[in-house]
Amino acid sequence: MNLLDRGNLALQRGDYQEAINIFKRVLDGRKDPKAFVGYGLAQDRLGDSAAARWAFYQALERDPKNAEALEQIRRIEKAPRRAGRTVRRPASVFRAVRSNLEILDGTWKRFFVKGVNIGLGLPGFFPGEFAIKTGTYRKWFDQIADMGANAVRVYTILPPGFYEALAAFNGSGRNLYLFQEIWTELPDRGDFEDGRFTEELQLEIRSAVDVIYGEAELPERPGHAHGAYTHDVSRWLAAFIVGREWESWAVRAFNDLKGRTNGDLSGSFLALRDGTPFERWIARTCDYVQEYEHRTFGLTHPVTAVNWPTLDPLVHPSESTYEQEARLQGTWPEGEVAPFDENSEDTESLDMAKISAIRGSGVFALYHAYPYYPDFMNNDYLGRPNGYLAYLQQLKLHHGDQPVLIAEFGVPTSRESAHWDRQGWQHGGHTEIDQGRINALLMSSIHEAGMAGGIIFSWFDEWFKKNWLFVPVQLPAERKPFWFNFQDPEQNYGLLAAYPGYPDKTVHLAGRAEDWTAATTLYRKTDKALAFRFDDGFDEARRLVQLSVHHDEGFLYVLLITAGPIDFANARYLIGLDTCSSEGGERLLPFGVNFHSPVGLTHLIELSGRHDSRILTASSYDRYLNEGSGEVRPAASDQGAWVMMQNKTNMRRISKDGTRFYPARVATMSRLRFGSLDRRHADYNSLADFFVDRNRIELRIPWGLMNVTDPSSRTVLWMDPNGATRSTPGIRVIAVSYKPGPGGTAAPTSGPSRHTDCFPGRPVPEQVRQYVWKGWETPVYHTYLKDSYLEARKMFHDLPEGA
Amino acid sequence: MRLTRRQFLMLGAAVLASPPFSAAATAQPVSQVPVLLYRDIRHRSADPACVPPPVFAAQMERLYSSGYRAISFADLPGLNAEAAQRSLILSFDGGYVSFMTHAFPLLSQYGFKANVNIIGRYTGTFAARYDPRLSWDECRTLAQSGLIEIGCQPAGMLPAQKAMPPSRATATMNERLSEELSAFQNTFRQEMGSRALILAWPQDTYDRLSIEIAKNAGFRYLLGSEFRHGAISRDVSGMPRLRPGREQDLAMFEQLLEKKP
Repeated sequence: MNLLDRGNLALQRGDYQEAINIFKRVLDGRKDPKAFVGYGLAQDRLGDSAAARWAFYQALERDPKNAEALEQIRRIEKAPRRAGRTVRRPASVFRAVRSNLEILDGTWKRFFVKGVNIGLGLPGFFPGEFAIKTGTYRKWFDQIADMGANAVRVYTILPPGFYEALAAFNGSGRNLYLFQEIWTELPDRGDFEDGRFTEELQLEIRSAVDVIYGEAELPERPGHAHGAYTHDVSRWLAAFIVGREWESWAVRAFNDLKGRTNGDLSGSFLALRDGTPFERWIARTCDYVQEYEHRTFGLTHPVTAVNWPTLDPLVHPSESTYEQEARLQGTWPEGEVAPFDENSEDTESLDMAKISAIRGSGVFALYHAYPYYPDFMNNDYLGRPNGYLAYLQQLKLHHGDQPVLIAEFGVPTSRESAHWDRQGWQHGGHTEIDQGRINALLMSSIHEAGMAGGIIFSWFDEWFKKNWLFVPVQLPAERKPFWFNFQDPEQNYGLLAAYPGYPDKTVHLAGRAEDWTAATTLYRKTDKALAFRFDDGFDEARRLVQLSVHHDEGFLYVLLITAGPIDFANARYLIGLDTCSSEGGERLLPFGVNFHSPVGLTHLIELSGRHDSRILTASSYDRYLNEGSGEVRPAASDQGAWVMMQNKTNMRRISKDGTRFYPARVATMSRLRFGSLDRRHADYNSLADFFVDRNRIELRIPWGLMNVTDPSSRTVLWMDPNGATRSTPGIRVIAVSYKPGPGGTAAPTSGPSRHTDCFPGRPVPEQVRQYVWKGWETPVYHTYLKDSYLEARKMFHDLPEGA
Repeated sequence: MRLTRRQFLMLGAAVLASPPFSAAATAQPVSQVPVLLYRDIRHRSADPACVPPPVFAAQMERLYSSGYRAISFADLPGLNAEAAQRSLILSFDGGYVSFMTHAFPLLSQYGFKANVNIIGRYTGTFAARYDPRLSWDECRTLAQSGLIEIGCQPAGMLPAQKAMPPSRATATMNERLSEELSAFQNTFRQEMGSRALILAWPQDTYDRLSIEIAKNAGFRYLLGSEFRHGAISRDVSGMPRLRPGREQDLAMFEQLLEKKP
């Protein structure tokens, strides 16, 4: 199916947001009037008539008689202006009291928050582009409410369409309450009390409050939402949230700047006792939110500031500062003052318990709390059966009657983990089923600890995001939204997957021939020749027939077909990849095959069984092992220097008193998981890397696992003194089969090489085929509800909202 | 066991009357299993036994893909001749923290066993700048894996002492050795809940008396510092070890393993 047909299919199926990307992708290539019409129809269905009108006119410029474009323009221009207003002066329906948020429903009732965070980064876009349309929000609100959630949280002022969709949804008789965050960058010179910074932040606060009441007209500013806000959603506002995950170095710098003197504050609505300079600033800012809301609209809503374990008011004995650790480990020169390092997680505090309400709807504490980060979330509670619960209970004990909301929690469905967790709730590496199970356990802990509720992170997978572990291998950074990195936990938190391909996965790892119709066949062999025959009844399993390659925004797919059924006990395979197409790379294959690849290889896929298969890399091209050497590039080698790929997920930690040591953790990335991506299959596993069906082996290799730093521009990792990346013309591929002997090494043949068959049939450089693909500027994707959504629905329905 | 000075002198006299050291060390070979010696795993070091991380990882992968299996001393008695052909023992001296980040994760993947020989007085501290050593917490983590056995490397025989005149040095060192090993075993028992069985001599400074002292302190497997192939004997009193090169030459690495004593 070509792209235009896929776009039209998306329109038929009501996948309008996805259709926008598909038609845009067509238009990246050629300005086809049909694509403009499709693009316009998708925009129109999502409620953006201005964008739709523009697209239809673009179609007419190229095809003045385009009937569809003419008709749509006529319709749009005749249609009465939408929007209008939903202005209702509400009573203030939320308050923060006695450990809970409460809602006024005749009487004040406990409102246990069962929420989900909604981000902004659709595939192909950065958050500041505000690509999500009104119609998409409507669709999502239905799905979120169906899940049993009672609240959503957004991180900043969104475009008017969001509030319009929320008003319409809530007007339909169902309710989703809103936690509205007012985002801020850090002050330029580290002074949160700087006049200009304060002025800008207060403007943002006023804008947010006005937006909620449908009384705002925000001008265009780069990275900010703008437009006419006419829908009053204050009736469904649960609370305002100020700020961000404040970096401890910024807090420390500000407290230092202000002389670290503690003091009190008495505002119009909030008071603070014995607060640090930063806490005073937070209290003043929160007070300003309620003061402005009350002054302007005569009401207030509960207010809080973003907090996280890094700044929590607890003391974490298992975590010394970076400087302490450096001294204890002998890695810091005596007598020198260590600069503050961002790895220091327990040096500064933001204690919202010091803030109390004088009047108004109250103040509460809010934390983003994950079980695996910082390290003290594990190390402080090693003796406790549920460390996460133990942490939350300790936190709740500190806050006493003040409500505490856990406004971010969850685990990602990425292939890799970025932090170890002793209970297996690590930072990634979870199947979609396990994501749901673990999210439910976390929410259950939140409820058991007496929190005011939990908000799952996150609603959908955002491709622009980057985990600290994978930042150096996602380059150029400005192209990150264009491709999906299954390796990166930050991109895989969603309950709603944003997954490459449309209308479905490109390859399902389910033995479907139709998945490969658009693939490129690099090698096909029709004769029955073999490099060596054992005549043991398994020669056909070792005879290679075809090798095809395919790709999408997330993966490289490889299909290997043999003449006979796959039987790993008697036939094994090595597939070599040269992602850089350079003069370097490793040539000697392992397992005693003694086969020298005609071209240097960067990676080697070893297919030895359902549980024993791996992907290796040339030792010179492994990022972890060569860290600190200054170079990560495939050096020419004929040594067979292959290595397993790894990530250091946790650094070594030393307790504050220097008596306890918590080991560093390193995780492998090389193991290939067997399974199918077809949910109906007995071997279903959303993390599956390969699948075997009779005489076919299908592989799904994430681009990021092969050091491809941006497939959309064909960029690969190449670190040397001159830079970090280079472009590649394509990926060269070779394959061999061999018979496993004792110990898994290749059984002897009559010759020096022990392979039984190979691609290319004549292993010389000229015969090696290269997979070449076209880059892209707009990614194609589809969305689907992960298994974890169903688990979240069960969990949310089981948890009472009140009582 | 802590020896008094009198007991120490008596032991010394008994050892001097016993058969020559070389004979004791090589009696009754039971296996041709080679023992590899590694120390720190890092990119830059003056130590010839220090191996860069990519080289070490490639060596382990080569062992795995060539069908080798790394075993423990306890596995030796049950080893048949065929299995012994592709078995080896990995030893890591010095107790460097790099073992945790560059060796243990790989060994776990391959199911390779190893012994890590720590220097008691450096445990949980560092010997020099940028030289942190494993802590007891980490030793327990390693031991709990079932793959790693923790042993001892006597600090009294480290290079600083070796600069002293050999004859006096040996006598002085042996005297100190008794105290050191006794103290090590006491601490080891407190921290690990058992006694250490492996001792790795850091330099060519041990003699028959040193061996007897070590045996009396409860050590069962004594790893030597001679870099050559050698048969592991039932006596296991000074097993020679092989020191893999720090350069990326895997053909030489494999040849090293295949050389027979």
